[in-house]
Amino acid sequence: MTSVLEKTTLGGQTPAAPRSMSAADRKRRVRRRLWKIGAWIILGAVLLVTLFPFYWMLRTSFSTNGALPGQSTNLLPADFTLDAYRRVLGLSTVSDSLQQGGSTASINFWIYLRNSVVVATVTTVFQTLFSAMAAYAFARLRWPFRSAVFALFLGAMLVPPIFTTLPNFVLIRDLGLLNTYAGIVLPGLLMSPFAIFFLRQFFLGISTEVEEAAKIDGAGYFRIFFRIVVPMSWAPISTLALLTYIGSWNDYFWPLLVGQNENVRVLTVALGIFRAQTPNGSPDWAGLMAATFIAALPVMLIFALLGRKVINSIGFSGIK
Amino acid sequence: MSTTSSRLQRSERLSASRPALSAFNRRETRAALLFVAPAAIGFIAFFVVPAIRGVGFSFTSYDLFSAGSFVGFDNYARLVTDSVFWNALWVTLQYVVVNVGLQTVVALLIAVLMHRLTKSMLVRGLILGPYLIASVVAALVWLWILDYQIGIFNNLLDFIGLDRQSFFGNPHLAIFTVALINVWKSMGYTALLLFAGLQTIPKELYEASSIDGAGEWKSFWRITLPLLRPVLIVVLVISVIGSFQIFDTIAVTTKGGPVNSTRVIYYYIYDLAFNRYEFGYASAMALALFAILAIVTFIQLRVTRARDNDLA
Amino acid sequence: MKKQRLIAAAMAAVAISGALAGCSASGTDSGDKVNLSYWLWDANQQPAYKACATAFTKANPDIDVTVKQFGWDDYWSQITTGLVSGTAPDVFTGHSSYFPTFVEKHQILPIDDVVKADDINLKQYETGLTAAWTSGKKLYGLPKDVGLAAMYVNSDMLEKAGLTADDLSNLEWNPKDGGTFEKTIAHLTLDAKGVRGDEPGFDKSNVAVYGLGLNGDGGGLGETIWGQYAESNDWTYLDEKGGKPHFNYDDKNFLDAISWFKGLSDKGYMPTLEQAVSGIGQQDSYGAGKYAMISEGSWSASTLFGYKDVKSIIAPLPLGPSGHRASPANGLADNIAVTTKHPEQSKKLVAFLGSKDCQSLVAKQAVVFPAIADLSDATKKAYEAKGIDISPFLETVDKGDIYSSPSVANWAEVNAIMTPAMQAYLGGSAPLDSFVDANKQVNALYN
Repeated sequence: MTSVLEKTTLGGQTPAAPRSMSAADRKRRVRRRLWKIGAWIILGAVLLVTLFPFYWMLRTSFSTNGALPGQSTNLLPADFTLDAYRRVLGLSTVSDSLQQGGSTASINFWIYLRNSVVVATVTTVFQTLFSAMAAYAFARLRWPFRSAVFALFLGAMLVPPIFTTLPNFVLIRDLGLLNTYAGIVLPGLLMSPFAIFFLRQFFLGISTEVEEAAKIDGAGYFRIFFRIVVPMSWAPISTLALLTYIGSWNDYFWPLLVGQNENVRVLTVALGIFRAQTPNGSPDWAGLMAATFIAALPVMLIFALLGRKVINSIGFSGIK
Repeated sequence: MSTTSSRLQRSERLSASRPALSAFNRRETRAALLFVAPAAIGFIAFFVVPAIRGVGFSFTSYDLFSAGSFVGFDNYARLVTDSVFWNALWVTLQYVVVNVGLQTVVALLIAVLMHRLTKSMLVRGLILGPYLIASVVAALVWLWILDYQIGIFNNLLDFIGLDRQSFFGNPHLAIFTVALINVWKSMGYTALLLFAGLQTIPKELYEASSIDGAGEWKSFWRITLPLLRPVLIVVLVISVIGSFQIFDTIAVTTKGGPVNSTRVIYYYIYDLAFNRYEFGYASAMALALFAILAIVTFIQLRVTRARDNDLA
Repeated sequence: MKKQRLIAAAMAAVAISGALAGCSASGTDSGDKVNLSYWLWDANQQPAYKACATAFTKANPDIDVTVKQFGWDDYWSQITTGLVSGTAPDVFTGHSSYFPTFVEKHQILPIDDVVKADDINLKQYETGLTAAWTSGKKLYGLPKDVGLAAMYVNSDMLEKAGLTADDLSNLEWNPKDGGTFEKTIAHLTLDAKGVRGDEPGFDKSNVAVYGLGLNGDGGGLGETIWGQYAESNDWTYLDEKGGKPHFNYDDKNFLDAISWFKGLSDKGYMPTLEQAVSGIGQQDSYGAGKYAMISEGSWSASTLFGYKDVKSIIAPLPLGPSGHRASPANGLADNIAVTTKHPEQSKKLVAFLGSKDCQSLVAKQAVVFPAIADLSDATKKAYEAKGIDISPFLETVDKGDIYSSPSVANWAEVNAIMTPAMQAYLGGSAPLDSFVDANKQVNALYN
């Protein structure tokens, strides 16, 4: 409570009540700004932790193995060199390789890159196609036991993969398909419970008008599916294809079991093997980082080009 | 237009009711079966049959080279007394709790921050980066960064004056290191999931609460969290199931060591089947894991469903 | 839209045809020529065996040999996958720890017929080597090399410490106080301030150069790591009791040896296990001047002498309480996979690899010691040409101070128990008597 004296000595300025409102406002504004600054700092720290390893991967891949221990805190490459990439891409001689701390095994990441592309592409194309077809049947067509079969397919999602992986290995072995592309892609080629679930949700959401009109015009189910439904659902289908591609590219466990041979070895498996290659026991760190960069690059490129789709798609899959 | 819509209404009414078997259009059924055929073949050939075979293997001493003999419940009896199996379950549990727990908290933090600060595509894209690379790639990069002797993180610790830590060689730290690597890898994806969930919360609620004088913290607890619950539950269930499958990171870094402290269940099964030729025993263990996961998921769903009912 | 689909379909078609064509690992044949595939894991030996392969093809023009190398971890998983799927190499380098399992599961072929037919003299090999590759009275491989252990010492550091090579020739160790061996190690250890391990003020938490390096836990074998100490303490890995193996990891002599060994780490003369298994391996650490001495195999000599900044000499292993040294004498041999499509040609190759013709080529490369006793002089000369004096290795063989590694079925299981046990003890998280329990578990495997 201001006294009469204080009121007069304030020298004709605005009365007390409005001033306290602006002070509280200022307090709130300052607090909000502090929160914002703090939040940005935290977000910045998160981004730093997220991105630093990628930078470090690059930095090490351009370094010389021998110089690494001595310059371990140098943020720039230690003795900049392209040797690591040469070793990894098979452009380096065996003796050079040994001298630089690498191994003598003929590594040729071009082959492994090719293998990853083949496996990921074949898997994506067929898995998406067949899953879309099945999803359409579940969403739009009426047939006996439809919901029971769907529940069965979904149940497959809850089974830990290793339970079927071991016998699948034996199956692929018995078919004589170990160390072939067919052996690697076959189990995932024909269906994926998640893909069917994902696409069925979409198909359910599409309006039936156009389909009904086509049906009345006498179009067969296949025509309706390929000429109408698929083009209409191109967004979710291509997003699914993208996710499938990335998933297949990064797969490790199954290709490790059935695709060890050089001709069909994919990048992830090659990385694991590369880690254990050097005769002296110390990993060829620069080469290893170069190899991981090469393994990660294609996915990063695809993401840079088509990333918007992936980012926007994250949300549908989670909530439903 | 009106005739089409009335025809539509009629067909909708028909499909809405539960049709008898005879009501199924032959042509439609045949088309449906053709559509489902590839997926069904895949399902039977690479899922059902192997599952049955897996159960079969678990009762034998199959070792990949020869047929092996029928051993009845021996493999299961061995499971009960196998201390490495129970250790594997314990190690996996530690991993799951730390990984899912930390990941959810961090992802929630990131999601809320992004929600309040920026919806920029660039930031979202950058956050998602680690999720896109393979687990083995992430594992190898962190193996290098966290190396005891020449990794930059330990050099940093040294510089600050803290002790160097052997992240992969210390049995007390190894499994948590693996968990943290996977938190790093997946927190971006989980954050985006939660972020999408946050988008569905009406802005008016926040505006109303800020007029009422509630601070950031209060509105988080009173509005954000409760409304995000359904998304959080889905995220948790999926994360837990996924976490049990941890393998890649361990296969290229610690290989189950040191002192079995990272010998998670998936790695143990793999090691038994392919390095020690005990395929039959490994199959039994896989079946046991299936049973355990089924129970865990059942419990999870029960608990969360009960919570939902309470809320309602 | 359509174009994308067409392209996708085209890619798929190409990929499928590639997949259906299928690619396999075993040798392919063109016409009458047979192509054998031969695998090994030691990259250092690859040039030597490539030379042998060329010589073999010269003598047998209708048989080609492709030599492939894989790192140790990768090697055995690929052999297994290959055997399981019928695509294993025709001939591969075998190891004594896998030998009994492969015999038991009928995965390798005996070679008695070719020994008889070619009249191969089994006595030309160093004593005990052929026995390691015999099972059930059948021989499964011809010994091709002998792996021994010794100490590699940084000669500059030796000089600065005021010691000579002679001082190292008769070191002794014992579990109580480590003897002259431990004193030497301590003297060679330097902390960050230059104080030696046996001088007052030595700071064991800040060591710059360790007197003795460490290469890992060694699992159940401890070859070149602790095996030489345990075995020179009147101890053997196992005995045969009633036809079954009985392991001795609970024996007092073993426990004393391991406890003394760990003590070296505790005192700061040897790195901890954590340090040993991280980013830089023992060899590279030695090459970087971080270890003054390391115990390593004869197969690493050329690598260790190849470090530019380190001049090395070889010293014998220390004498133990038994009054003898104990070097592992591990002989490798080449095995023929049962899945081979060319057994006759494979047997020819194995016979050649075990012959003087091939082994003298290997001796010239100076990367391993061939198994044929006569070639030891030639080997010595080849190594001398590289500046390496291998007499300490050869002396152990001459004196019979050697032991062979256990060769039992289910060794993988034994190792699965002993590796965590050894890691736990050396890493400091389990007490010494944890080995008693581990030994019980190991022996339970054979009941």
